[in-house]
Amino acid sequence: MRKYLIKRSLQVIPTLFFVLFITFMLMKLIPGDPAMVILGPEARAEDVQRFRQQLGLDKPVVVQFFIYLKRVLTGDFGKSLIYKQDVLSLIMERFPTTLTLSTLALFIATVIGIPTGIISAIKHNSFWDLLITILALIGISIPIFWFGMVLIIVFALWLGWLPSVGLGSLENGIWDVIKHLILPSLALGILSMGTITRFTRSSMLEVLRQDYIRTAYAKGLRKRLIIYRHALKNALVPIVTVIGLQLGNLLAGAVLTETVFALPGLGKLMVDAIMRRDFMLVQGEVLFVAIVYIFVNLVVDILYAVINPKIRLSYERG
Amino acid sequence: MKKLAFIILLILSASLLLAEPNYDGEITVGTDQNPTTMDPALYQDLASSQVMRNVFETLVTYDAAVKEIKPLIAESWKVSDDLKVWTFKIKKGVHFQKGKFQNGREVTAEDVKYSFEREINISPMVRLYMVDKVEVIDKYTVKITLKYPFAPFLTVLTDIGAAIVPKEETEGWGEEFTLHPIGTGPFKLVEWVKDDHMTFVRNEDYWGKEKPYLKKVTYKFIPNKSVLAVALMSGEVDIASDILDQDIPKVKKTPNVDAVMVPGVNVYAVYMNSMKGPTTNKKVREAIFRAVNTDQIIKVLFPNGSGVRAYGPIPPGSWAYNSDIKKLYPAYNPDKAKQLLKEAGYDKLSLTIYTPEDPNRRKAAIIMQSMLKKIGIDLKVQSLEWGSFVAITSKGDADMYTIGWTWYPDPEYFIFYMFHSSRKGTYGNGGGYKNPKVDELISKGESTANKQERIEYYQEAEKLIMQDMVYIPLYHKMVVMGVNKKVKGFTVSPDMMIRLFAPGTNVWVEK
Repeated sequence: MRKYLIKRSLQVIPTLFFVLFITFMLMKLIPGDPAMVILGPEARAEDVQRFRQQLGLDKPVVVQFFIYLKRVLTGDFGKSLIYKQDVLSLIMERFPTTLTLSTLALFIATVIGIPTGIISAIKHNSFWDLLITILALIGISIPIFWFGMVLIIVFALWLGWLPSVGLGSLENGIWDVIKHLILPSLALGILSMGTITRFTRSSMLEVLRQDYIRTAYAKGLRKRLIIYRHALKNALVPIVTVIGLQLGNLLAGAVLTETVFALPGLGKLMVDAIMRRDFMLVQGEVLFVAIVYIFVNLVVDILYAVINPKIRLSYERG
Repeated sequence: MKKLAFIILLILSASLLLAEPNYDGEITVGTDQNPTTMDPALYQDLASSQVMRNVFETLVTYDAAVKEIKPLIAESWKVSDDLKVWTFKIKKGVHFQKGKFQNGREVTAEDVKYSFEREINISPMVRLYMVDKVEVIDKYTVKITLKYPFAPFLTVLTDIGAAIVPKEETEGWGEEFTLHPIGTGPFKLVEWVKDDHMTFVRNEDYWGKEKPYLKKVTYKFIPNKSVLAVALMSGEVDIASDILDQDIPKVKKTPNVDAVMVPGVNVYAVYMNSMKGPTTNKKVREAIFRAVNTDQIIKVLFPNGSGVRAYGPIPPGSWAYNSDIKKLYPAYNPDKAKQLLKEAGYDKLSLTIYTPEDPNRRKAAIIMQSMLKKIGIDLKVQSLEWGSFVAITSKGDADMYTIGWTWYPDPEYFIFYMFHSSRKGTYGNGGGYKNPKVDELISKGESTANKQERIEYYQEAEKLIMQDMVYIPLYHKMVVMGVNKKVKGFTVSPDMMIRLFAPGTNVWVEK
């Protein structure tokens, strides 16, 4: 097991290097001189030129990259060109919001998705199965932006039950923050909910067809024991995979959700940074998100070993 | 009988009390733009200048109607005849807010010199680029010498970039001054959660005779304008900085809020390329002019009246506006347009128009596309995000682009930035328009003291620009803000600034 972990950890290094390199080059390829975009249309030519020099944009691209790489390796992600604030501190200010939002969304999606997927599989081809499948498809197809606005109009404007925008404040108690996060988590989680439901359903169906399940029924075991102890445990591996992959969707969807609900998260920070050509912030954020993603993948892989002894053995062997 | 009189008196006095301004009001302002800095010398965007006005003040400032420049920190000023030397006397008793590095000391001429020199040295925009030197004459008198005569200098000084800042705080905090801003203004910043909200409280030591009624001001940043309108209607914000045309009826229907419209100081137009391509031919330009039914575009874009027809680059909100300019606008005449195109030697023509993501400009371009098709011009519409849009249009690579411009009411800020030949290569004059007579008139406008003469120069320049038929004015956008009825004393400003405390304005909230 330890050998496996060490091997995985070493693989991280070249991955991060390529992420950084590709992001850096992509920012250079986007049309629009960062200095001109940041200073605005009223700036004079000599001011733009001076700003470019300050940013080091007059040096050759490869040189710029290695200067940046050297600084990153010492933990200096640079300063945001727009906010004039340390990139890492900006990211850490925003990260809790996106993390909480994504976690809550994933939690809601899982807590609703897995049971409904199981029910759908058990009551295969019944009315419930059909209903759940249709709802899951709707969940996958709904645009987050639109759904978020509908939630705001219904729950904030018409019913007045929940606030429409913002994060709330911990000073007003934990319930204030939770109140503000209910609608955005629902909007963000709906897609994952649909996906998890469908995957749980198909994975369970696959497992329920197996011979050992038929044997268990023949042995006279209780239905609930069969479903949860034997079937679900074996069905879990693909389900956990899908849940892990949802993180990518959630981080992407977080941008839209954060924009609609006015939440100060990483997603919105990233989009603003790209539009404003704040390349220091973009590079820092992409690197950060890559690290988070790699970490989550590692956790998922370890979870496999926890759930399924066969996988644990294969790790230990290789 | 006595009882009745007593009851009536009671009710009358109670209603009087209700109508009186109180000093306990708290207000939440919703805006879709997110400020990036609180350092006046470093700001580059409108959103930052919006909120900085609460903490910082300038020598002079516009009133809420943006018509007159009033003294603020300055008491009076003199200008030399050659418009190069400006001498200001500042008021006695103006003092900074208490901060970590100074205890609320009085503002002197030294502070003006320091603030201006700081702006010139560290600002990437250098708004005071015309200043040659700043000299302290005595404790309350400062003399500013410009590099050349510049009539609009007072307007430049109303910009928050020219705010007076305390040396001890800027040097004490260094780069973190933006997080701990200290000025002379009516409010102090107490909390800033980036991208979420900003909270200000009344400066109890404010130097002015009149104190702000508002006790607390919170700015909430809500990027989506329709969600902003919902937040206004649900009572989560009291003022919404912008309402989309399509949301105006909903807001008007909601009982406790109002949509207030004020003509803005802006102009939105289509600018054609003067350097290369078919638009360098005047007949082609006139054909395009005559093929576009501008009134129709306005009807489609602004069914609720938040935009009005434009006839020239100087907007009605400017004191140099010329209502006669509409006589020079080529009338809609698609048959004549077709004929002109033929005379220019084109049977068919293919052009590209660039627009940013602004839905109004994009829609206008698409409508133009169908109108130009009727006379044989195939107009491709390219809608780009802002950075790419500015890059392509500034370089002069666009046949046509939709330009939006908003700034001070002084005509210099419209005519110079969009039509002076030196502005070629910038977004304002991306098409490289060059007319030496226009350049000459602009110089005269900059260096003349007499306001009426200046108006004549800029209006003459405007006539020449319209006669060159390279710039198609489409519309002026109204400034539309949503205001909760409990907010009193608030005037919507044509420059989109939200002024809660300014000369002639002191906003309060009904209990």
